[in-house]
Amino acid sequence: MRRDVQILRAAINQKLIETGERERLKELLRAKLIECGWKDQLKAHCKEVIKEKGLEHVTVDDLVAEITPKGRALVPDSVKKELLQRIRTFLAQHASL
Amino acid sequence: MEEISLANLDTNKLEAIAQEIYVDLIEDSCLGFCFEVHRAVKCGYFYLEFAETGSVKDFGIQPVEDKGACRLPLCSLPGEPGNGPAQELQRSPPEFQ
Repeated sequence: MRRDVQILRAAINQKLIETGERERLKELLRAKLIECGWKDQLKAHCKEVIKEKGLEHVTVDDLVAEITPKGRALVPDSVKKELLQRIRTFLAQHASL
Repeated sequence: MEEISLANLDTNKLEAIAQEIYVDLIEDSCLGFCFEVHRAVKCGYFYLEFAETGSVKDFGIQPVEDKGACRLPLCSLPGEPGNGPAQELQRSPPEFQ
C-alpha cells in the first residue's frame, strides 16, 4: 500500500508540473508572502544573522540554517489555508492521473 | 499505462499528500529567499536592497567620509599654489615625450 502512495505522490507532482499548476501555486505563494509582510520580517531577521556572522563570512548554509525555520514559522495561517485549499481543489480536479 | 486514481485513497492519505505539496512550496520559497540574500551579500548590494533601515555601520562597514576635494598633489587642480605635483612629476618621462 505504501508503495502505491509513493507512486501516486510522484504522479501528482508530475501532473502539477505538467499542467503548470506548480508554477501558479509558487507565484500565488510568493505574492501572498510579500503582501502579508513575511518577506519584510525575514529581511529583518537576515540583518541580525548577517550582523552576527559577519558580512564577509556568512555562507549559504548559515542563511539556510537560520532563515528557513523562521520562514516556515512566519507563514500566516490564512496563507497556509488558501494554499492548501488550492492544492485540494487541484487533487479533486485530477482524481484520475 | 495503468491509470492511477486518487479516488481510491482515503481522506487522511489525500490530506497528507496535500500537506507535503504545501511544505515543499514553502521550503522552495524559503530557500529562494536565502539564495537571494546570499547573492546580494556576495555581490555587495545587500544593504541597498535588503536593509532598508539603518546604515552600512550596522554591518561593521565604515562609511566613506566626505572630506571634500582631494588634497593629494597629483589630484590638485592646476593653478593652485603649493598644491601641485612635485617638480619631477610635472613632466612626463622622456620615453613618453
